[in-house]
Amino acid sequence: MRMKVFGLGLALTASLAARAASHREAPLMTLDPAADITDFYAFVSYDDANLGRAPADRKVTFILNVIPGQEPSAGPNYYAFDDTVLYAIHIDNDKDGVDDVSYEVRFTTETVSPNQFIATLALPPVTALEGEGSEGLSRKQRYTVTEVRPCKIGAHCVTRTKLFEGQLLSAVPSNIGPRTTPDYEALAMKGVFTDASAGARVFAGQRAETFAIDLGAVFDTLNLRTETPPPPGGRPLPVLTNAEDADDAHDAFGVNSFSGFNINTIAIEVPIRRITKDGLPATSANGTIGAYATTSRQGVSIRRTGAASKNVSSWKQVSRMGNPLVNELIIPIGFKDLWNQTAPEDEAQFLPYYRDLAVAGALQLVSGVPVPPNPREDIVQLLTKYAGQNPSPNIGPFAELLRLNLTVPPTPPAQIKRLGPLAHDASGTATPDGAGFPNGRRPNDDVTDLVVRVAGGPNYIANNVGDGVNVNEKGITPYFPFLPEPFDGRNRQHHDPMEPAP
Amino acid sequence: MRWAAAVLASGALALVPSVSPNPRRETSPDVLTAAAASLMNEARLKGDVALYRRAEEACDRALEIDPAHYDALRLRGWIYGGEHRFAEAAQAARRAQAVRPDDPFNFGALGDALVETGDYAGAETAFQKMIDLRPDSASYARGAYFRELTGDNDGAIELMSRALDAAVAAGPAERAWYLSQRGDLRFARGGLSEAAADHGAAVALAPQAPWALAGLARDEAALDHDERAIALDRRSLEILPSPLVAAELATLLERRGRADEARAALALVEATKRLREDRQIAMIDADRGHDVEAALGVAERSLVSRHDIYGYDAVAWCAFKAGHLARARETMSEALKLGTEDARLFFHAGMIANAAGDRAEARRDLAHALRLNARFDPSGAEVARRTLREIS
Repeated sequence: MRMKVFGLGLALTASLAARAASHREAPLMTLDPAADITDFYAFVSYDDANLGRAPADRKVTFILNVIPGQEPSAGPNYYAFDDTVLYAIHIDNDKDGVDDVSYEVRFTTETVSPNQFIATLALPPVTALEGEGSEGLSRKQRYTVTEVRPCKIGAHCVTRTKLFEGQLLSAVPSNIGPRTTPDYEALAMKGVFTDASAGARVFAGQRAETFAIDLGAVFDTLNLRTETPPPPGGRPLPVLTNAEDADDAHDAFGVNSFSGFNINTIAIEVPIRRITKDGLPATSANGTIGAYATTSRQGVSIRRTGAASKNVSSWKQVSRMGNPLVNELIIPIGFKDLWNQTAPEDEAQFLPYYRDLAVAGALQLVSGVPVPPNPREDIVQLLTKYAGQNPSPNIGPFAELLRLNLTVPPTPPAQIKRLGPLAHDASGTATPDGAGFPNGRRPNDDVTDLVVRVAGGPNYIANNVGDGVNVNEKGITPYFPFLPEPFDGRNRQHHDPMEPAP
Repeated sequence: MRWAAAVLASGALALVPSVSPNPRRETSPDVLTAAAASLMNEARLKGDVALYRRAEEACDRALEIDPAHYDALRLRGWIYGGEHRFAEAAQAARRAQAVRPDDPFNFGALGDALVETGDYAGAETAFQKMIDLRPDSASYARGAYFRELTGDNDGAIELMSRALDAAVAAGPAERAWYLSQRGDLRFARGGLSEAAADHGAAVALAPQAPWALAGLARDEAALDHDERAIALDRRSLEILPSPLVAAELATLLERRGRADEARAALALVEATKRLREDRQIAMIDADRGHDVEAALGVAERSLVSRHDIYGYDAVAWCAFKAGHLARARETMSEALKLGTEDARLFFHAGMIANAAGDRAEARRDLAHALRLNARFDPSGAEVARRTLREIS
């Protein structure tokens, strides 16, 4: 040991110059997975119960995902929500871009057995979230759900209603493995809570990632695979044949980078009537909403004055998401934090980046196939305006929201098409599924292919351009929270689509 | 989907920076800046300055290809700061601010540089703006450091705890870093077993983090667990040969009567000194009464470009050891101007006051040092106690 230490000392290089300040250096480019919203979904629920309801009684589900790319075997701590974050889902129901109903979720972590080094142990196997059967949970996260609405009178006043009153809402822990969490799905279902008077359900905990994408290829400057071996005549673009494109059960040629990974999710289901502007069932007059999710943290003043509470200021929004990929593909680095802080109704300042759609330019550069010319008013229209709103590029309001027409009936799981409005059959005949993105977004909608085609325009739509990843291996989950059982830590695998599933 | 975050979180960049490509061979400025950023994170966590150089090279190459590449522009503020080129770091951060005025990154890089050069008012404004723009672990931690500098140690602990809470889903090395920082703050308040709990948790999360090992070694030494402390210092030095840790190890070995091993440890300090000037090494020499005039020269030259309180402290301590009492007194008062509650600062102040014949001030400062942390370091705390006894 001693020789080793001082052997190094003799082989000095400039690299040993560890200076005092280096020890103090805080991270500047921090990953913030607990507060960064990675996906947001909004759709009319497609479980049996809701499919069986009369349209006037139907319910809508909102899902907010954080902490992406979870390696299922990441012991000993696994994954948790952040007690310092305010997680929220917001709804605009009168087309002005401003929040009319919000659902706020806050977590409180209790460390039950601080000396237990591993977050979850089979002491005995974990079969419950609270009480008997929960002895192995060293860390318990509970949460509250609050509905927030503006007052009828008074601009800056809100009314706050606690939902699920009188219930201990427990977050569902990570799926550890068959010894520790032997019947995980049964355990997870104990984390679905119902508020009978509000007609609401909520779930918070780990689920499997349904977002499927060939991240490696997309990130390599859109170096999408053209598969091996190429078909006769080759493929000048990463295009799918009509049969491949119509196949929602197999990947054509891409590699799903999220195979075998989990996420943390918050899912809330409420009756449609609860969120329309007039409290009535959805019609063509009141039935289109805009929705988005946010996370916020509390501001702090560095210099303290008096009581501790005086030095913590109000919530500051740190992340938001309405439509997928806006932050990634449209907003430039250096404006991302500002964009994340901004309310959706203040989107007008960012419209130049929508109009000069950099990702479309990249597509044309890489493929040589022309994209529509700038300015892209079609993109502005799609992402920041409601259908029927004044189409003038100078007239707002412009608000980046995930828009959902609640009068479109839910598609039963067996008939859900990943390409939604662009779906077609193996012969190329259109078979649109109007209940999918960009009419809201369901967990299995293929937003990568849809975004590439919408950004690329008619040439890319006609050619079925895509990343060759059509599905995740877990498929569609037909019950609340509509995301699949997470991969378990012991038996997780990350496999390519050509390989047999475990 | 946040692609970039997902790539980083899935380990494609952040967790395997050692396999990042040779930056000269890469031609995409995006790839180059991503490589530079992951090198910076690794450099920060390992304290390895060679990695800062590689990051700088990658960043420069990106700017050769695209002189307006914003991500590369703003990274320079961070890289120069890591390399202790603070004036350039502040300049680079301000240039990036001119391009994107609301990016919290630049306020962090600017504040870091201003703290190190002693512009505390400017640093406070920058850090407050950073928190206002994005409250998260990175900005809370800077707020905590500023509170510590201004003597609000309890407030610093509170804010570092907030930073740690906000890092609940971050990687183990990041979490270990906040734990270790909070451990340092608790140590400064004399909460030795709390500090050891934090540093111990940090070591469990990141067994290869030299700062966590060295932090735990300090707690163990203060708790009179010398052998444990020695073993931890040795592990830390195997990972990163830091002169400061080598000197701390030498002091412990001397206390155990192992003079040969202590001399071997100090060889690292001497070898580092031959490579470059460093006020931290000057402080080690001053502590040991070794080459004190040369050490004072190093500290004075450092003060020319940096006017931070620890720069003044270094000059004061070296001047005191070299017998220049007037210089020691004037610079010591500068070192205390922020009201920083650091036992070592008050130890220095007390010893200097005593040498100048101001017994009342010496008694007050030495007692305050020991009240903050009775075991602030293995040798200094003993000297403080003995001196206090002599003049009481």
